[in-house]
Amino acid sequence: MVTWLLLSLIGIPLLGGALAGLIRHDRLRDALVILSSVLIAAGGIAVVALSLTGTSGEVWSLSVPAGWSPIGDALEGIIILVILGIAIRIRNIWVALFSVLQLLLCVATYMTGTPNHEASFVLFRIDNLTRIMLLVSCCVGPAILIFSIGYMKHHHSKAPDAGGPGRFFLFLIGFLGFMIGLVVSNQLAYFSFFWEATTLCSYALIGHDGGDARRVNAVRALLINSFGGVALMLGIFLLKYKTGGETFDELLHSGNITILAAIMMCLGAFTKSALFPFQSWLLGAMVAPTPVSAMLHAATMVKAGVYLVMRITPGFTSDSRVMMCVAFAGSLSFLGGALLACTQRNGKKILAYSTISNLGLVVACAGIDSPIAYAAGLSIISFHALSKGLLFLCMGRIESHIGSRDVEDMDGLMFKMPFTSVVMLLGMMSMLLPPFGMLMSKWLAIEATIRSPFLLVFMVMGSALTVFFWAKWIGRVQHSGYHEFLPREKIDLTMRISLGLMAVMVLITGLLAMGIFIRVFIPMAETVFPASHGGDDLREFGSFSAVGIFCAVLLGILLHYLVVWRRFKRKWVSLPFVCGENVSMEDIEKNEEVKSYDFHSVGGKIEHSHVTSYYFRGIIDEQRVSGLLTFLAWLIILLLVGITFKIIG
Amino acid sequence: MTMSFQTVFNFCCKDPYISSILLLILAPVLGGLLQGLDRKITARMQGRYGPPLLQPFYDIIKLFAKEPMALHRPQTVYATLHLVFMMVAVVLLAQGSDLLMLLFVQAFSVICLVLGGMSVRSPYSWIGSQRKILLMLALEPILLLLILAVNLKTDSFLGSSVMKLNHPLLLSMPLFFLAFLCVVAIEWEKSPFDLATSHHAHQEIVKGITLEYSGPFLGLIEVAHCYEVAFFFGLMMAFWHTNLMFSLLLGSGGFLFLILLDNAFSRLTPNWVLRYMWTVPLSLALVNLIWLWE
Repeated sequence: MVTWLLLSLIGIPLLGGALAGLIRHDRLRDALVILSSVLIAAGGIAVVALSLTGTSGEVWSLSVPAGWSPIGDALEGIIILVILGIAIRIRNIWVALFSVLQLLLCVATYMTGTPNHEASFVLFRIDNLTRIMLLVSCCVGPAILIFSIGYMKHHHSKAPDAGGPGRFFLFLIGFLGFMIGLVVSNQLAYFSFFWEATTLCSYALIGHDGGDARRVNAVRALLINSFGGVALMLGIFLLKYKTGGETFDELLHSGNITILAAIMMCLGAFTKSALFPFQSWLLGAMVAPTPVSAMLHAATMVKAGVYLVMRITPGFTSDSRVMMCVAFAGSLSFLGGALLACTQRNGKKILAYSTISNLGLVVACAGIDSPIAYAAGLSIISFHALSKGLLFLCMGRIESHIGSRDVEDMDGLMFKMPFTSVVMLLGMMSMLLPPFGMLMSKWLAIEATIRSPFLLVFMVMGSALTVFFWAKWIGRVQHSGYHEFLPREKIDLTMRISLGLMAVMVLITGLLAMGIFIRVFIPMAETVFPASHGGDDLREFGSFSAVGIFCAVLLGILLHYLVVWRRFKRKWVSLPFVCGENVSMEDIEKNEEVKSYDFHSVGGKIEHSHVTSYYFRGIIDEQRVSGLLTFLAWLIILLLVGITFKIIG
Repeated sequence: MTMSFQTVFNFCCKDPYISSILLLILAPVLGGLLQGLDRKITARMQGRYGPPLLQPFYDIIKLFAKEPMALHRPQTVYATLHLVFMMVAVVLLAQGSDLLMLLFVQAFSVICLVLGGMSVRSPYSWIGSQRKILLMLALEPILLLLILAVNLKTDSFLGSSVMKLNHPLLLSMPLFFLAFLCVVAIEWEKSPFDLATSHHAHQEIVKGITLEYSGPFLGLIEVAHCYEVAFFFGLMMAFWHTNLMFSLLLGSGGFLFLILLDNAFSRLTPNWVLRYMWTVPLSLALVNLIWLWE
């Protein structure tokens, strides 16, 4: 039963995407997208529920005869040839080189090792980690698809080589299918097929709107991800060559040799998740239409990289130096992303740097040898996907309404777009405050860092910086004058439904965050780290009554509502203080452009004041700091690879 | 019954509700008295008589009696949230709960005030808020390192686990205490760190964050400030938890030092504060942390 559900869960998005690409009629295509979204969401939840038969830690697997193995290799080869074809068409030598290398490695993997004709192997495997990834992809993905229906109606690109909505949905829906295949695959050839397919979708979608800048950024994404693909295939080849193993199980249960394979795959994961030094493609990918940014570059595709790291972490827990390097690489990205996000004015770039920062935190958690940290990493993956997806969607809506991505232009948004502003504020608050999941995970990650001294400094600085840029942005969105009532915002039904759905999901999971953490993530982490390190118990980790805090806050808000909000009178409202030089009512009536908060300047001239936020201008230069961090990150990678070679002797 | 921290903690754990209510009433009284003492001593240092000791209370009562004025509704919500979160932080501290969560709650209280300042169309208020988040950026790493250092000593993140130590924290974390004094100076808005707002409205951005608050809403913020003063005084006392007399002495010593600092130094610029806090106190904290490492 689960088998058929799973196969259709992979097949329906691919089929739906293909159909969406072919259909010309707009409304029919929209209906198809909605149908696919609903089916994917329902299918994903059904698969997760049905595969849970009995105790937690239960692993559902699908075994197939050995004859399926070459099919996986063939699929891999086909997709690499497709990328090679693209490289030749766009005449990019590096992508072509990487594709040729991948092809060689693919052929070498196929030919090496002892062919075992009788043995069957596990093709698909659903364990708890996969279940979480499935839930994330199948709940966030469809919401984003529904949003993009409304979004693409108003989104027109002027470039001559822009693609149409059909091509857009072909790749966007198809991508979901590949993502689902990626998280359930156990056999490495199939895994890398899905991995390369997501790279392809990313390339197609970044360049969707056409134009030179987008083409360049799409190629950059393809380049860096191809490099990651080479690293991944190298790891797979090494595994097969040394141990004859082809699946994740065999990767995790063999000895020292496989650490090198695991590290190579980690490197591939770093490129996919855009950690330093591979961050430039994600920043460049912000030129894509916003649903693409939400789906690929926040909620799902970049999560594939950290998913891989989480999955192979048990493979190198044996060596603490390797773990330390991985944790270092992660926390460098955590700090660097937060630092650079403080200097940005472009909303999408802030979100991109924030994503890099959070993904770095997940990798750092994976590198800290503790079940609490691992659980924190899992919870960051889930909560971050929800919140960041929501924020990107709101960003897209805001951009299409006010025509700008600059945070400073979001002044007075509360009055212009109340619904979107409130949802956006909810999203931003969910990244910052208790009891929402992100803060809880950060809390636990910092508590787990106590084991690793040098990471402490990075975590602590990064955590402080994170608050800085979110607070600036939240303040700017709320910056407004007095209004009697908020107008009703005119927004497409699909966009409204999608934003509302995501907001409800964020709210509910946020309120239940601590409970989810204790009941779901901790048991999962304990299956990965069976020998409990020093008896770290969540119970021991500081109890505080989250419910108590929440009730106190609710009580305060309720009292405020009864005593102040409802009795707020017009005569309480006054004008801001500008040293007594406020404009008078006649000035406002005489001139339409004069606002109530303007003031009389020198010679009675009416001036409008606008104060921007603090962006560390002249102190932090994005290029130089970025360059420095990239350099440091490459040093860490060299260290990592060197140590691994030393271990295997 | 000997009065000591242990008895207070036991009382709080046995009777969480009654102790919380008592605490919520007594803490602002302590905070207000400290503020009144502060103003009196500062005045004497400057050769004046100074206001009566209970002046902060008279001010708060006066504020609540005034006619309410605000710029818009959300601004008032933030004042309430600021107060509520500060009250929660004080209760959490007294119950000895998780220190890291305590830090986050207190930080969030300050963020509410900052957002309140940014939600209105007032240039001075906006600049004050920006400076306040810069100040928070400057002091958060030190507080986080302090909590991690306490964990190194006690193997737990719970505040109540500090009670089990035989020796006072000051003996093993002296540099941390110095860094912590700088942090308290920032939180209490003492010169040289009175960039965002200060007691007196004679700085270049008038009164900064709290400029657009008046009447009962400013009263709420002043009450929250009383809680904040008591909160940090309590934390200073916690550095000598073994003996109540010495801990009071330590707290008073720190308090007097901060008054001296306030009167001696002039205001720094935001960049200067950030550079200073991330070099000198942060290095002191790191060195102390390394001392504590096995």
